[in-house]
Amino acid sequence: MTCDEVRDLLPAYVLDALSEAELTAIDEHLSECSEHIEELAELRDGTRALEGAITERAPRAALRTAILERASAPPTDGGVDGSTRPAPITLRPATPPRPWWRSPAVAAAAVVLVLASVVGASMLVSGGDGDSGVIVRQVEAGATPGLRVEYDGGQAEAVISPLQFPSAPAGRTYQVWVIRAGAAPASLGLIADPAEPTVIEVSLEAGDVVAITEEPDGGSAQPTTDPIVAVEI
Amino acid sequence: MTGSTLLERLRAGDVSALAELYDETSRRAFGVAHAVLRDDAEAEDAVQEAYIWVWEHADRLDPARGRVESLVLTIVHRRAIDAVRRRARGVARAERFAREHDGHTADAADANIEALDNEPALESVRHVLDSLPDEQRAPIELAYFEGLTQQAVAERLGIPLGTVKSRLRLALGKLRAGLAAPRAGTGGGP
Repeated sequence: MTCDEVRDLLPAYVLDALSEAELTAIDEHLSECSEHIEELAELRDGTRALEGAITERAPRAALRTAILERASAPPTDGGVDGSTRPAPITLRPATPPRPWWRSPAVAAAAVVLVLASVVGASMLVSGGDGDSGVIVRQVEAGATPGLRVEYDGGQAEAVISPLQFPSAPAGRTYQVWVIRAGAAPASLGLIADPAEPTVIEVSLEAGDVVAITEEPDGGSAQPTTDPIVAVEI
Repeated sequence: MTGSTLLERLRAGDVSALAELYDETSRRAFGVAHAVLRDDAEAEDAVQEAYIWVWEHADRLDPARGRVESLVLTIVHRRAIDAVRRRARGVARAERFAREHDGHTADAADANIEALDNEPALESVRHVLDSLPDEQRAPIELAYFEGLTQQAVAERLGIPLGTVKSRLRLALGKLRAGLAAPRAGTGGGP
Protein backbone atom coordinates (compact mmCIF):
# COMPACT_ATOMS: atom_id res chain seq x y z
CA MET A 1 0.00 0.00 0.00
CA THR A 2 1.42 3.39 -0.95
CA CYS A 3 1.42 6.47 1.29
CA ASP A 4 -1.24 8.08 -0.93
CA GLU A 5 -3.51 5.07 -0.64
CA VAL A 6 -3.03 5.03 3.12
CA ARG A 7 -3.78 8.74 3.38
CA ASP A 8 -7.00 8.21 1.45
CA LEU A 9 -8.13 5.51 3.87
CA LEU A 10 -7.04 7.09 7.15
CA PRO A 11 -10.43 8.59 8.15
CA ALA A 12 -12.13 5.22 7.71
CA TYR A 13 -9.15 3.60 9.45
CA VAL A 14 -9.57 5.57 12.67
CA LEU A 15 -13.30 4.77 12.62
CA ASP A 16 -12.57 1.05 12.04
CA ALA A 17 -14.71 1.36 8.90
CA LEU A 18 -12.50 -0.77 6.65
CA SER A 19 -12.38 -4.44 5.89
CA GLU A 20 -10.15 -6.54 8.12
CA ALA A 21 -7.63 -6.92 5.28
CA GLU A 22 -7.46 -3.16 4.75
CA LEU A 23 -7.11 -2.47 8.48
CA THR A 24 -4.24 -4.96 8.70
CA ALA A 25 -2.52 -3.53 5.62
CA ILE A 26 -2.65 -0.03 7.11
CA ASP A 27 -1.49 -1.28 10.52
CA GLU A 28 1.55 -2.74 8.77
CA HIS A 29 2.21 0.39 6.75
CA LEU A 30 1.96 2.64 9.81
CA SER A 31 4.33 0.48 11.81
CA GLU A 32 7.06 1.24 9.27
CA CYS A 33 6.18 4.73 8.00
CA SER A 34 6.20 7.85 10.17
CA GLU A 35 4.79 10.01 7.37
CA HIS A 36 1.25 9.84 8.73
CA ILE A 37 1.75 10.33 12.49
CA GLU A 38 0.50 13.90 12.55
CA GLU A 39 -2.54 13.38 10.37
CA LEU A 40 -3.41 10.20 12.23
CA ALA A 41 -3.29 12.03 15.57
CA GLU A 42 -5.60 14.75 14.21
CA LEU A 43 -8.11 12.23 12.92
CA ARG A 44 -7.91 10.30 16.20
CA ASP A 45 -8.88 13.50 18.01
CA GLY A 46 -12.15 13.22 16.11
CA THR A 47 -12.82 9.71 17.42
CA ARG A 48 -11.73 10.86 20.92
CA ALA A 49 -14.61 13.34 20.77
CA LEU A 50 -16.98 10.44 20.15
CA GLU A 51 -15.42 8.29 22.90
CA GLY A 52 -15.53 11.19 25.33
CA ALA A 53 -19.24 11.70 24.75
CA ILE A 54 -20.21 8.07 25.28
CA THR A 55 -21.65 7.39 28.73
CA GLU A 56 -19.21 5.54 30.95
CA ARG A 57 -20.35 2.16 32.24
CA ALA A 58 -18.91 0.09 35.04
CA PRO A 59 -18.16 -3.49 34.02
CA ARG A 60 -18.61 -6.27 36.56
CA ALA A 61 -15.80 -6.68 39.08
CA ALA A 62 -15.25 -10.18 37.71
CA LEU A 63 -13.89 -8.68 34.50
CA ARG A 64 -11.02 -6.97 36.31
CA THR A 65 -10.19 -10.21 38.09
CA ALA A 66 -10.31 -12.20 34.85
CA ILE A 67 -8.01 -9.79 33.00
CA LEU A 68 -5.46 -9.60 35.81
CA GLU A 69 -5.51 -13.36 36.27
CA ARG A 70 -4.90 -13.86 32.59
CA ALA A 71 -2.06 -11.33 32.63
CA SER A 72 -0.51 -13.01 35.70
CA ALA A 73 -0.55 -16.46 34.15
CA PRO A 74 3.04 -17.72 33.97
CA PRO A 75 4.53 -16.93 30.56
CA THR A 76 4.94 -19.90 28.29
CA ASP A 77 7.73 -20.39 25.77
CA GLY A 78 7.49 -17.81 23.06
CA GLY A 79 6.37 -15.16 25.53
CA VAL A 80 3.96 -12.51 24.37
CA ASP A 81 4.11 -13.35 20.71
CA GLY A 82 0.49 -14.25 20.37
CA SER A 83 1.19 -17.82 19.36
CA THR A 84 1.23 -19.09 22.93
CA ARG A 85 -1.00 -16.57 24.62
CA PRO A 86 -3.14 -17.81 27.45
CA ALA A 87 -6.67 -18.70 26.60
CA PRO A 88 -9.34 -16.10 27.35
CA ILE A 89 -11.11 -16.55 30.62
CA THR A 90 -14.75 -17.03 29.87
CA LEU A 91 -17.13 -15.07 32.05
CA ARG A 92 -20.24 -16.61 30.56
CA PRO A 93 -21.35 -19.75 28.82
CA ALA A 94 -19.96 -20.36 25.35
CA THR A 95 -21.57 -18.32 22.60
CA PRO A 96 -23.99 -20.86 21.10
CA PRO A 97 -27.37 -20.41 22.72
CA ARG A 98 -28.61 -23.02 25.12
CA PRO A 99 -30.12 -25.93 23.19
CA TRP A 100 -33.89 -25.97 23.15
CA TRP A 101 -34.16 -29.02 25.34
CA ARG A 102 -32.15 -27.33 28.09
CA SER A 103 -34.30 -24.31 28.61
CA PRO A 104 -33.93 -22.56 31.96
CA ALA A 105 -37.18 -24.06 33.14
CA VAL A 106 -35.97 -27.42 34.31
CA ALA A 107 -39.32 -28.97 34.94
CA ALA A 108 -40.35 -31.06 31.98
CA ALA A 109 -43.84 -29.69 32.26
CA ALA A 110 -42.53 -26.21 31.62
CA VAL A 111 -40.35 -27.51 28.82
CA VAL A 112 -43.28 -29.03 27.05
CA LEU A 113 -45.19 -25.76 27.28
CA VAL A 114 -42.29 -24.01 25.62
CA LEU A 115 -42.15 -26.71 22.99
CA ALA A 116 -45.89 -26.54 22.47
CA SER A 117 -45.55 -22.84 21.75
CA VAL A 118 -42.77 -23.69 19.31
CA VAL A 119 -45.13 -25.85 17.34
CA GLY A 120 -47.80 -23.20 17.22
CA ALA A 121 -51.48 -23.69 17.71
CA SER A 122 -51.37 -27.42 18.33
CA MET A 123 -53.63 -28.65 21.05
CA LEU A 124 -52.33 -30.99 23.68
CA VAL A 125 -54.71 -33.86 24.22
CA SER A 126 -54.17 -36.59 26.72
CA GLY A 127 -56.10 -39.67 27.61
CA GLY A 128 -55.71 -43.24 28.64
CA ASP A 129 -57.08 -46.64 28.06
CA GLY A 130 -57.99 -47.82 31.54
CA ASP A 131 -58.34 -51.46 30.57
CA SER A 132 -55.02 -52.09 28.91
CA GLY A 133 -52.96 -49.53 30.83
CA VAL A 134 -51.95 -47.80 27.63
CA ILE A 135 -51.15 -44.11 28.07
CA VAL A 136 -52.02 -41.92 25.13
CA ARG A 137 -50.61 -38.47 24.64
CA GLN A 138 -51.36 -36.50 21.55
CA VAL A 139 -50.63 -33.13 20.01
CA GLU A 140 -53.30 -32.56 17.39
CA ALA A 141 -52.12 -31.68 13.94
CA GLY A 142 -53.23 -28.19 13.02
CA ALA A 143 -51.26 -25.64 11.11
CA THR A 144 -48.24 -27.75 11.98
CA PRO A 145 -47.79 -31.52 12.20
CA GLY A 146 -48.95 -33.33 15.31
CA LEU A 147 -47.87 -36.39 17.24
CA ARG A 148 -49.61 -39.27 18.97
CA VAL A 149 -47.70 -41.32 21.51
CA GLU A 150 -49.20 -44.52 22.91
CA TYR A 151 -47.16 -46.03 25.67
CA ASP A 152 -47.73 -49.38 27.25
CA GLY A 153 -45.74 -49.43 30.48
CA GLY A 154 -46.25 -53.17 30.80
CA GLN A 155 -44.77 -53.87 27.39
CA ALA A 156 -42.18 -51.05 27.66
CA GLU A 157 -43.22 -50.15 24.17
CA ALA A 158 -44.31 -46.91 22.57
CA VAL A 159 -46.20 -46.40 19.35
CA ILE A 160 -45.13 -43.10 17.81
CA SER A 161 -47.57 -41.81 15.21
CA PRO A 162 -46.54 -38.65 13.37
CA LEU A 163 -49.70 -36.81 12.34
CA GLN A 164 -49.77 -35.08 8.98
CA PHE A 165 -46.04 -34.97 8.58
CA PRO A 166 -44.86 -34.21 5.05
CA SER A 167 -42.29 -36.60 3.58
CA ALA A 168 -38.86 -35.64 4.83
CA PRO A 169 -36.89 -33.50 2.34
CA ALA A 170 -34.24 -35.29 0.27
CA GLY A 171 -31.24 -36.16 2.42
CA ARG A 172 -33.19 -35.55 5.64
CA THR A 173 -35.03 -37.79 8.02
CA TYR A 174 -37.22 -37.54 11.12
CA GLN A 175 -35.70 -38.60 14.41
CA VAL A 176 -37.48 -39.33 17.69
CA TRP A 177 -36.00 -38.24 21.03
CA VAL A 178 -36.82 -38.69 24.65
CA ILE A 179 -35.82 -35.89 26.98
CA ARG A 180 -35.71 -36.62 30.68
CA ALA A 181 -35.43 -33.64 33.03
CA GLY A 182 -31.81 -32.66 33.51
CA ALA A 183 -30.46 -35.05 30.87
CA ALA A 184 -29.46 -34.67 27.24
CA PRO A 185 -31.93 -35.99 24.69
CA ALA A 186 -31.59 -39.70 23.91
CA SER A 187 -32.41 -40.91 20.43
CA LEU A 188 -35.27 -43.36 20.16
CA GLY A 189 -34.55 -43.95 16.51
CA LEU A 190 -35.57 -42.77 13.08
CA ILE A 191 -38.98 -42.70 11.49
CA ALA A 192 -38.85 -44.73 8.31
CA ASP A 193 -42.20 -43.53 7.01
CA PRO A 194 -43.95 -40.56 8.64
CA ALA A 195 -47.27 -41.79 7.27
CA GLU A 196 -47.07 -44.94 9.42
CA PRO A 197 -46.90 -45.45 13.18
CA THR A 198 -43.47 -46.52 14.45
CA VAL A 199 -43.18 -48.97 17.32
CA ILE A 200 -40.26 -48.30 19.65
CA GLU A 201 -39.10 -50.30 22.64
CA VAL A 202 -38.55 -47.86 25.45
CA SER A 203 -39.15 -47.32 29.15
CA LEU A 204 -40.78 -43.97 29.68
CA GLU A 205 -41.45 -42.17 32.93
CA ALA A 206 -43.99 -39.53 33.79
CA GLY A 207 -42.53 -36.17 32.82
CA ASP A 208 -40.45 -37.50 29.93
CA VAL A 209 -40.82 -35.49 26.76
CA VAL A 210 -40.97 -37.22 23.40
CA ALA A 211 -40.00 -34.97 20.51
CA ILE A 212 -39.41 -35.26 16.78
CA THR A 213 -36.82 -33.26 14.89
CA GLU A 214 -35.70 -33.20 11.30
CA GLU A 215 -32.10 -34.42 10.97
CA PRO A 216 -29.66 -35.34 8.23
CA ASP A 217 -30.07 -38.85 6.80
CA GLY A 218 -28.87 -41.44 9.28
CA GLY A 219 -29.81 -39.25 12.24
CA SER A 220 -27.76 -37.16 14.65
CA ALA A 221 -26.16 -37.85 18.03
CA GLN A 222 -28.00 -34.84 19.44
CA PRO A 223 -30.81 -32.79 17.90
CA THR A 224 -29.54 -30.19 15.45
CA THR A 225 -32.86 -28.48 14.76
CA ASP A 226 -35.80 -27.23 16.76
CA PRO A 227 -38.47 -29.83 17.46
CA ILE A 228 -41.31 -30.08 14.99
CA VAL A 229 -43.54 -31.41 17.71
CA ALA A 230 -43.10 -32.55 21.31
CA VAL A 231 -45.33 -34.15 23.89
CA GLU A 232 -44.96 -34.81 27.60
CA ILE A 233 -45.73 -38.27 28.95
CA MET B 1 1.40 8.72 36.73
CA THR B 2 2.31 9.61 33.15
CA GLY B 3 1.48 7.43 30.18
CA SER B 4 5.08 6.69 29.30
CA THR B 5 5.92 5.54 32.79
CA LEU B 6 2.87 3.34 32.80
CA LEU B 7 3.97 1.97 29.44
CA GLU B 8 7.44 1.25 30.78
CA ARG B 9 5.97 -0.66 33.68
CA LEU B 10 3.70 -2.59 31.35
CA ARG B 11 6.73 -3.47 29.25
CA ALA B 12 8.49 -4.68 32.37
CA GLY B 13 5.60 -7.06 32.97
CA ASP B 14 4.28 -5.22 36.02
CA VAL B 15 0.74 -6.47 36.52
CA SER B 16 -0.04 -3.61 38.90
CA ALA B 17 0.49 -1.24 35.95
CA LEU B 18 -2.18 -3.13 34.04
CA ALA B 19 -4.46 -2.85 37.08
CA GLU B 20 -3.86 0.92 37.17
CA LEU B 21 -4.55 1.23 33.46
CA TYR B 22 -7.72 -0.79 33.90
CA ASP B 23 -8.92 1.20 36.89
CA GLU B 24 -8.36 4.45 35.06
CA THR B 25 -9.95 3.51 31.75
CA SER B 26 -12.28 0.51 32.10
CA ARG B 27 -15.48 2.53 32.56
CA ARG B 28 -14.83 4.43 29.34
CA ALA B 29 -13.70 1.24 27.60
CA PHE B 30 -16.82 -0.66 28.62
CA GLY B 31 -18.94 2.33 27.60
CA VAL B 32 -17.40 2.34 24.11
CA ALA B 33 -17.77 -1.43 23.71
CA HIS B 34 -21.34 -1.32 24.93
CA ALA B 35 -22.27 1.57 22.64
CA VAL B 36 -21.30 -0.63 19.70
CA LEU B 37 -22.44 -4.05 20.95
CA ARG B 38 -25.31 -3.23 23.34
CA ASP B 39 -24.73 -6.49 25.14
CA ASP B 40 -22.94 -6.76 28.49
CA ALA B 41 -21.30 -10.13 27.88
CA GLU B 42 -20.06 -9.31 24.39
CA ALA B 43 -18.84 -5.90 25.55
CA GLU B 44 -16.92 -7.54 28.41
CA ASP B 45 -15.27 -9.90 25.95
CA ALA B 46 -14.17 -6.99 23.76
CA VAL B 47 -12.78 -5.15 26.78
CA GLN B 48 -10.94 -8.22 28.05
CA GLU B 49 -9.38 -8.84 24.64
CA ALA B 50 -8.24 -5.21 24.35
CA TYR B 51 -6.48 -5.07 27.72
CA ILE B 52 -4.80 -8.41 27.15
CA TRP B 53 -3.68 -7.21 23.72
CA VAL B 54 -2.09 -4.11 25.26
CA TRP B 55 -0.47 -6.27 27.93
CA GLU B 56 0.99 -8.67 25.39
CA HIS B 57 2.12 -6.00 22.94
CA ALA B 58 3.42 -3.39 25.39
CA ASP B 59 6.97 -3.85 24.14
CA ARG B 60 5.92 -2.83 20.64
CA LEU B 61 3.81 0.20 21.50
CA ASP B 62 5.25 3.50 20.38
CA PRO B 63 4.78 6.34 22.90
CA ALA B 64 5.01 8.81 20.00
CA ARG B 65 1.69 7.50 18.76
CA GLY B 66 -0.26 8.45 21.82
CA ARG B 67 -0.89 7.56 25.40
CA VAL B 68 -1.60 3.97 26.25
CA GLU B 69 -4.78 5.14 28.01
CA SER B 70 -6.09 6.35 24.65
CA LEU B 71 -4.74 3.41 22.75
CA VAL B 72 -6.68 0.93 24.84
CA LEU B 73 -9.93 2.65 23.85
CA THR B 74 -8.92 2.48 20.20
CA ILE B 75 -8.37 -1.25 20.55
CA VAL B 76 -11.60 -1.78 22.45
CA HIS B 77 -13.47 -0.14 19.60
CA ARG B 78 -11.70 -2.32 17.04
CA ARG B 79 -12.57 -5.47 19.00
CA ALA B 80 -16.18 -4.35 19.38
CA ILE B 81 -16.45 -3.71 15.64
CA ASP B 82 -14.99 -7.17 14.96
CA ALA B 83 -17.65 -8.68 17.22
CA VAL B 84 -20.57 -6.72 15.79
CA ARG B 85 -19.54 -7.75 12.28
CA ARG B 86 -19.33 -11.40 13.32
CA ARG B 87 -22.82 -11.05 14.75
CA ALA B 88 -24.08 -9.41 11.57
CA ARG B 89 -22.69 -12.33 9.58
CA GLY B 90 -24.50 -14.67 11.98
CA VAL B 91 -27.77 -12.80 11.47
CA ALA B 92 -27.34 -13.01 7.72
CA ARG B 93 -26.82 -16.76 8.05
CA ALA B 94 -29.88 -17.10 10.28
CA GLU B 95 -31.98 -15.16 7.79
CA ARG B 96 -30.79 -17.33 4.94
CA PHE B 97 -31.51 -20.44 6.99
CA ALA B 98 -34.98 -19.13 7.85
CA ARG B 99 -35.77 -18.49 4.20
CA GLU B 100 -34.67 -21.98 3.32
CA HIS B 101 -36.47 -23.60 6.23
CA ASP B 102 -39.82 -21.97 6.21
CA GLY B 103 -39.21 -19.39 8.88
CA HIS B 104 -38.40 -21.68 11.78
CA THR B 105 -35.55 -19.54 13.03
CA ALA B 106 -36.90 -16.20 11.88
CA ASP B 107 -37.62 -15.19 15.46
CA ALA B 108 -34.01 -15.64 16.46
CA ALA B 109 -32.87 -13.55 13.52
CA ASP B 110 -35.37 -10.83 14.36
CA ALA B 111 -34.18 -10.74 17.94
CA ASN B 112 -30.63 -10.12 16.76
CA ILE B 113 -31.66 -7.40 14.39
CA GLU B 114 -33.57 -5.76 17.21
CA ALA B 115 -30.43 -5.84 19.31
CA LEU B 116 -28.71 -3.87 16.57
CA ASP B 117 -31.13 -0.99 16.90
CA ASN B 118 -28.82 1.68 18.22
CA GLU B 119 -31.03 4.58 19.12
CA PRO B 120 -30.81 4.39 22.93
CA ALA B 121 -27.06 3.82 22.84
CA LEU B 122 -26.57 6.96 20.81
CA GLU B 123 -28.44 9.16 23.27
CA SER B 124 -25.34 10.23 25.16
CA VAL B 125 -23.43 11.18 22.04
CA ARG B 126 -26.43 12.81 20.44
CA HIS B 127 -25.31 16.34 21.24
CA VAL B 128 -21.93 15.65 19.66
CA LEU B 129 -23.40 13.99 16.58
CA ASP B 130 -25.95 16.76 16.28
CA SER B 131 -23.13 19.21 15.85
CA LEU B 132 -22.54 17.58 12.47
CA PRO B 133 -24.50 18.30 9.31
CA ASP B 134 -26.95 15.46 8.47
CA GLU B 135 -24.94 14.25 5.51
CA GLN B 136 -21.87 13.77 7.75
CA ARG B 137 -23.66 12.40 10.78
CA ALA B 138 -25.18 9.37 9.06
CA PRO B 139 -21.87 7.98 7.72
CA ILE B 140 -20.23 8.44 11.15
CA GLU B 141 -23.08 6.64 12.94
CA LEU B 142 -23.13 3.75 10.50
CA ALA B 143 -19.37 3.36 10.55
CA TYR B 144 -18.42 3.99 14.17
CA PHE B 145 -21.46 2.56 15.94
CA GLU B 146 -22.90 0.03 13.49
CA GLY B 147 -19.61 -1.40 12.24
CA LEU B 148 -20.25 -0.83 8.54
CA THR B 149 -17.23 -0.48 6.28
CA GLN B 150 -17.09 2.76 4.30
CA GLN B 151 -17.98 0.69 1.24
CA ALA B 152 -21.10 -0.62 3.01
CA VAL B 153 -21.94 2.90 4.17
CA ALA B 154 -21.85 4.06 0.55
CA GLU B 155 -24.18 1.24 -0.47
CA ARG B 156 -26.55 1.82 2.45
CA LEU B 157 -26.80 5.55 1.77
CA GLY B 158 -26.73 5.19 -2.01
CA ILE B 159 -23.87 7.63 -2.46
CA PRO B 160 -20.47 7.17 -4.12
CA LEU B 161 -17.60 5.80 -2.04
CA GLY B 162 -15.56 8.95 -2.72
CA THR B 163 -18.33 11.03 -1.18
CA VAL B 164 -18.37 8.85 1.94
CA LYS B 165 -14.60 9.21 2.28
CA SER B 166 -14.72 12.99 2.11
CA ARG B 167 -17.69 13.19 4.48
CA LEU B 168 -15.94 11.01 7.05
CA ARG B 169 -12.86 13.21 6.82
CA LEU B 170 -14.88 16.40 7.19
CA ALA B 171 -16.88 14.96 10.08
CA LEU B 172 -13.77 13.93 12.00
CA GLY B 173 -12.38 17.44 11.50
CA LYS B 174 -15.55 18.95 12.92
CA LEU B 175 -15.60 16.56 15.86
CA ARG B 176 -12.00 17.48 16.59
CA ALA B 177 -12.81 21.18 16.45
CA GLY B 178 -15.69 20.60 18.86
CA LEU B 179 -13.33 18.81 21.21
CA ALA B 180 -10.94 21.78 21.19
CA ALA B 181 -13.67 24.35 21.77
CA PRO B 182 -15.52 24.20 25.09
CA ARG B 183 -19.08 23.05 24.55
CA ALA B 184 -21.88 25.42 25.28
CA GLY B 185 -24.12 24.52 28.18
CA THR B 186 -21.90 21.88 29.75
CA GLY B 187 -20.28 23.95 32.46
CA GLY B 188 -21.26 26.65 34.92
CA GLY B 189 -18.47 29.04 33.83
CA PRO B 190 -19.02 32.52 32.45
